[in-house]
Amino acid sequence: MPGDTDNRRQSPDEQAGKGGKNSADSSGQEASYYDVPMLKPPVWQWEIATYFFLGGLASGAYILGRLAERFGGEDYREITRAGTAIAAVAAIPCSPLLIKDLGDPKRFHHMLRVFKPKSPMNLGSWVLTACSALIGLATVREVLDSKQEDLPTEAVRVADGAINISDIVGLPLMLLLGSYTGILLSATATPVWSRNRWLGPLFISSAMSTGAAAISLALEATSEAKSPAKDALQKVETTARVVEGAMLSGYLVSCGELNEPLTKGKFAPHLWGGTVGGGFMLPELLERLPVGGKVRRWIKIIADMSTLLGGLALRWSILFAGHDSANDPEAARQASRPK
Amino acid sequence: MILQQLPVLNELSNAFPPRQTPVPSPGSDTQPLMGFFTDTSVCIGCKACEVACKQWNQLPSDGFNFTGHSYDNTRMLSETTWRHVAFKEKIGGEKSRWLMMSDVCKHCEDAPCQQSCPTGSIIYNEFGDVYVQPDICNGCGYCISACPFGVLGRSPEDGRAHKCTLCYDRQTDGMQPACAKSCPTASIQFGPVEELREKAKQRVETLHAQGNTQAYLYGADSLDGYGRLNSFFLLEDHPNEYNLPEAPPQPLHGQETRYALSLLTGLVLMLLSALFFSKGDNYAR
Ligand code: SF4
Repeated sequence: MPGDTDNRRQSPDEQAGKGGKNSADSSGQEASYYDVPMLKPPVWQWEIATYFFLGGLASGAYILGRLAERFGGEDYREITRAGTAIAAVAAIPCSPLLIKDLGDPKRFHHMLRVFKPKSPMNLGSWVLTACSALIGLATVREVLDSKQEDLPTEAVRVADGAINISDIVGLPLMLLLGSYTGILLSATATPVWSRNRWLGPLFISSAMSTGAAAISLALEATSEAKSPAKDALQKVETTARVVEGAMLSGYLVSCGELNEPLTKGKFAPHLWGGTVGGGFMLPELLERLPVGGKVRRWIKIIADMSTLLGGLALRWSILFAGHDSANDPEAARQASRPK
Repeated sequence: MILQQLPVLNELSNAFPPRQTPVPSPGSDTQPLMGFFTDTSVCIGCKACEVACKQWNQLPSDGFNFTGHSYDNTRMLSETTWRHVAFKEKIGGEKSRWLMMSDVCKHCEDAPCQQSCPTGSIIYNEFGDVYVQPDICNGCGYCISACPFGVLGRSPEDGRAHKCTLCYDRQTDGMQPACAKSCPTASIQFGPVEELREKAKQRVETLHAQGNTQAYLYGADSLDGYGRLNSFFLLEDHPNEYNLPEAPPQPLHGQETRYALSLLTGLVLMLLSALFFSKGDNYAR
């Protein structure tokens, strides 16, 4: 009696002596079904791309704010203040965007009816909820801090203590907030995302670079003077950008031919012009320009804005490349060849 | 009472529907796993299954479209098409022929749609079939992208995901699914999956003995690490000819590594940033 594998693997390629792993049929043509898509394209639209960006921004800004306070001391308090404010502003639209994207928005709370970390979207819903609370706490604490004189010292101390304790769980949670979105995409059958290990690291490094850029933008916009905080932020930005560039290259290379919707498709200009040009090259170039004074400040502001747009373009191009990728039956066939 | 009068409260309470009856665990002695064996070697492409499915499940029409693809004007499975008869005209080669296959949700043993579902709407029911609970689904669309067979769709009518239920309602009443009932050639067979697998293997042997050496089973055993399909097929050509993936990826597998790599990247960036922040003190002084 033939074993299980015999039954299954006597595929026609082998019958035709074509050596098994290629997908040509018995008449020598590429096996396909009238170029009808094999997969369904994602239902996710601009809301999700924007959320990916804002969630990352909130995560990066919050993390840098907390690190600055913990390791930097007084000189860096302005980073914490700006970082918290940016995280709060970025986090506010997140849930509404996610809810708007649902097919049945009034059931948004069903996301939290189970705890199911196996599903990145379920885990992400919990993480977003927890992170929103943390960002809220940090914001309250900043407000208390700024009104320190009029408040009982106990209140300020309690808030300080709470925020310090919260770092132990808060920072890992924020890392998750910045990266789970990439893991969510990699846990789909969409060829350009499917099982890719670079997406999570790419998204968290972009979260850090955009977070640093947003804080730097805020500092630059509020004060002209040079400061150690600004200098340190510059180093953070460059580091995050280098890592992000490496992760993006790794991602594109690991996709092989499947990266075509991203590198050559409709959204290629977003990727090359927006992310690579605007997010990496332009800011690095601008920051190296030998100018000083007022001009320097404006150049920095432009560089930071460009970094932010680059981060948005990254999420945008990757999300919408997924639509084209899923609709391409050839990509789906390629992605599902036996390894 | 008040719950029924306030629609918002009603919706909220819907998130936690009361369990009316104890649900037996799937695959127990009393309740075997139930599934489909679709034998494409006897499919005549009559589409009785497509029609029966639409009628029983009250699915709307997909409109009159002419695709120009052989006799297939349905093209693919979707939120309103839970059985789809594929027609592939094979012209040339040794002899021209038709391939016909009634496609359906594979009711994967290790289903990505079930695992990805964030609300817990998609479950394995007591028959071991993958079922979207319509009162829970909030239309996030994750299952649609997670399914490596492109089975699910989101309905613009109610905004929720829909797919083959393996006629859960009929099964609870001891009836077989509408498609299997209506199939005139027994191309669609319904029953306990273990029995179907045995039957299917015998069928392949018979076909081989008759000289149809192309016949093989798709999904009766693990598909290159994908896990078995509780709704599996007998095919006579390369899976891609039927628009099926050869060795579908299980996208939810290996997530742990992906989380670890992401957290590691984040940690490295955090460490470097902390370093930059703590160095600055010297600068200031
Ligand atoms: S074929 Fe798709 S929809 Fe059906 S159980 Fe598998 S993953 Fe879910």
